[in-house]
Amino acid sequence: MEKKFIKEEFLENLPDYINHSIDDDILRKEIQTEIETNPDFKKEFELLKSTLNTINNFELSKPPENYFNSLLPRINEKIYNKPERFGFLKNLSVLWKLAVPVVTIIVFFISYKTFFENNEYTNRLNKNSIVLNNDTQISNKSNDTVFGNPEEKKSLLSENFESEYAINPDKTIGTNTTENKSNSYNKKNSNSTNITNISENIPDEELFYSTDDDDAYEQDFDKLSSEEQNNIISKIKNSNL
Amino acid sequence: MKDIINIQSEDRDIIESFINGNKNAFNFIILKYRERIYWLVRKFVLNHDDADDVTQEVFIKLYKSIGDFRGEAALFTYIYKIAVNYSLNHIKKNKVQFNTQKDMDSEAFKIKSNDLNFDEIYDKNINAKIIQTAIQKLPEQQRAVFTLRFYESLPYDEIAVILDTSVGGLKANYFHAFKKIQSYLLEQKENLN
Repeated sequence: MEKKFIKEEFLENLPDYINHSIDDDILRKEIQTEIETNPDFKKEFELLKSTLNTINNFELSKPPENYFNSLLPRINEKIYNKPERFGFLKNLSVLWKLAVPVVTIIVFFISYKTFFENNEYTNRLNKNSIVLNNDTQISNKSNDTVFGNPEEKKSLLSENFESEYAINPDKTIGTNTTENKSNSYNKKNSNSTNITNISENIPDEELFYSTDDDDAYEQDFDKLSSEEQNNIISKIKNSNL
Repeated sequence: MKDIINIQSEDRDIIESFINGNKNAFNFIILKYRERIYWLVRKFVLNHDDADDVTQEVFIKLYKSIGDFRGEAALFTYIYKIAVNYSLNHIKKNKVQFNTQKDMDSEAFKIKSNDLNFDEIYDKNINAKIIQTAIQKLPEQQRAVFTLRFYESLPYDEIAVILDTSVGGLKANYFHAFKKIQSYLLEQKENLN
């Protein structure tokens, strides 16, 4: 099947026809026919051929001697030795890439820690407030009964000795333990239930964290008049210890 | 065809060697293509100093981007693409097409034949400057097609790859480039007369 070309295609292919660079034989023959038969097209062909020949008469001037030999080292110098423009920005961008995840992790860690510490603190605060309330009760009772009124204190102290003796007849004044004191105190104290509850909830070392109590009893005993001391001692003696 | 395949295979080996850490492999590419690229760029920018700058930029760009070369086209097509883009950018940036004085002073073109008397040489030198200006006045796309087809004799499908365009309009661009040069030459001839 023979190809059909429109006249526009002849024009577009005219430069290639003049330069002998058309591979399509049919197209080349048809252009040749058109030049021979169409005077306007022939005129166009001659004008363009003249232009091409004019351009072909000139060539670009040669570069300086040894130009191509010097090109390689100059390119290498630019590639390997040229300090990169805005290189610090490139470093910053690398740093930025590293910094973002690190900062995220740190922020997450701090938030996590703060949140749980707050929770723990709140829990401890709640627990402590319970303990504090109980302590306050103990303290109030202690102030009221033991260390508040000196008269009551004296009677309580003597009663303590009596009851202690009744429960633990083997005990002497000098060998009374904190626990025994606590027990004897609890028995006499009207709020003994509260204290027992507290002592169940709170470790012993928190409740009886000091041995100053022992000294206090002795100091209280010393503060009694000799008559009162004798009275207590005689009671003890009479109890057939 | 066999030669083309061999060249492509050779280029691929050089690129692989370069990617695997052989920095000297890139020097082979420079040595192999330096003249072709220089002359291609020179036909665009005409002036030697500009051509020198652009040629170096082309190879530096190639060095940085050779890892992206996938081997779908020949390496020289890939380099030509960079060279054409850099040349056209250079023309745009320096407005070379509107600043003909610099190129005229640097005598970009010279007469091929030396068998001419003084008057003929004088006439030819004037013509050389006129042709130079005529080429510089071409629009970007026509100038690219004219250079790649007329000077480099590249097939249209390859020009289409280099210029990222379809083959369809390239012949028309080529023809219109000649027509513009022709009309400028006629215009100048009338002015001289």
